[in-house]
Amino acid sequence: MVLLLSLGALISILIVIYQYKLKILDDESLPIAILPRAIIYWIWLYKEILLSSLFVSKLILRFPMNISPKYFKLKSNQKTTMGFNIYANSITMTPGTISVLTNNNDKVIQIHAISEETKSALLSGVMDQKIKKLMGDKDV
Amino acid sequence: MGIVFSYFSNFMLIIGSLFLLIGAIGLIRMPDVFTRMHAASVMETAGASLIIIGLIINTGFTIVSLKLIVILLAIFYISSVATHALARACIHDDLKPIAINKESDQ
Repeated sequence: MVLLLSLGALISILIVIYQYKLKILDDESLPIAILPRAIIYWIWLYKEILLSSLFVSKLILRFPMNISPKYFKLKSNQKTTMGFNIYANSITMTPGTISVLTNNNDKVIQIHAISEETKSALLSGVMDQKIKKLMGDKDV
Repeated sequence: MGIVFSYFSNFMLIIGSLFLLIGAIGLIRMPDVFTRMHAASVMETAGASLIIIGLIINTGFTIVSLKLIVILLAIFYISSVATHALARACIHDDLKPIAINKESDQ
């Protein structure tokens, strides 16, 4: 058991070294440098997911059903493609907001939100700032 | 100590199941496909993650809990990409959300 696991780890490290020598590692592979900050971000994101799950659950159980969905465009401040990707996926992961169409060139996301509250929570830009901090952009 | 962990894990499982039930009710009650996706995302984030965390606490920290953590990460990544793909396909198929129709009426 331990032998198999350690052999697997050893071979993975050797393959990474081999790829590094071949110079085929690029910045779209797993970004190890942001991993410690990513754990802090994931804990914050999980708290947001639970809070907005409670909010959407209240909307679902309300009788009679009274929802007013919103569809709008949002400009993101991300510089990198990776940051933009994390931002769009975080929006989709949070219940109450879905990123429908994305454009990487001018960093605009079209968003479908279930109510006014989730829309204003996104427009405040807290998540955008957190991801800029996560990606290590200087001009936060 | 074992009893405390057992109660806590049962509590997590019950809360997660409640989220799954609420999501299922929402899938029936919501008016159109986009709002139904919001109800489904309650199930696949809060419901699934609370149930898996309950199971991890129940098994203790063994190789099984490591596998459960991998399943949890896979569910998070796959569900967000699948929801985005579904919404994008609906827009490309000219299925307008009721949000756009309401704004054009006013």
